[in-house]
Amino acid sequence: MKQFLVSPKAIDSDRLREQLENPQSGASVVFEGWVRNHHEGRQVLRLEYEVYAPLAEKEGLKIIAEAAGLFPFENAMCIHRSGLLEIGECAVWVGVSSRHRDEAFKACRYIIDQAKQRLPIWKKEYYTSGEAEWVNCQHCGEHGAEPVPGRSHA
Amino acid sequence: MAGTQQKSRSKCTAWVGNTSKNLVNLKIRYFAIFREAVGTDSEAVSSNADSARELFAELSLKNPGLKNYQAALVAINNEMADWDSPLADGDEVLFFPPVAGG
Repeated sequence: MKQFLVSPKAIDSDRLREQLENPQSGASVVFEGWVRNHHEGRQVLRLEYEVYAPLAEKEGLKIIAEAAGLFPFENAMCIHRSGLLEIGECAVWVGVSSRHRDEAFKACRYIIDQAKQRLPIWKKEYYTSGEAEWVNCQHCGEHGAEPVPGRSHA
Repeated sequence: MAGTQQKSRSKCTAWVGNTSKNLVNLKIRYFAIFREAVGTDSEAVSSNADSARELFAELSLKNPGLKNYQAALVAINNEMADWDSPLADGDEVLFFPPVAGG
């Protein structure tokens, strides 16, 4: 299974994780990107994601297909939120299940890094000061450039 | 503008006097910070730009908020495209400012 979706509703991590399960897989890796309450020294109140869904979904599926060619897996899903999000909410969810852990880690990393660089998605930050700005996030896809809380199961 | 004229653009300059290129009619769509800079999410334009890059440069003259195309992305008719892509009459050109998913 290979799936990419844009969701205006809250991401249900537990339900998504269950969809990765299959008897051939001995490993699953899940990455969750959460909304932080700070960015470059400014206090963030909430975020808004603008998504051009027709192309985001098309390009998202391409990314997952590329990952499958590089790191064979059983199942992979990526869900990205649109609309207004509060601090702590899950903004993006990537899950991969595979026979062994190495492919699951690598495919998950590939999908989130490429998604950040290529999908037509924009983030507007609303600050406690009352200001709001579109975030220019060109370097977010580089390895280690922006640690985001995640978790893995393997 | 007829499609046949578009195809023979480079050969017909002698027939059109001072106009060295044919105008094409395009629909432009803007997103996020580009939309806010331009003040609209879409507009119809006639242009003689040879590529998406030239079109962006042309539009940025009247909208200084359209900048930094090196970090921006372009799509034509709902397919991601190169900045060097040619433009045809009736194309829908989407300008995406630097993306920030995740």
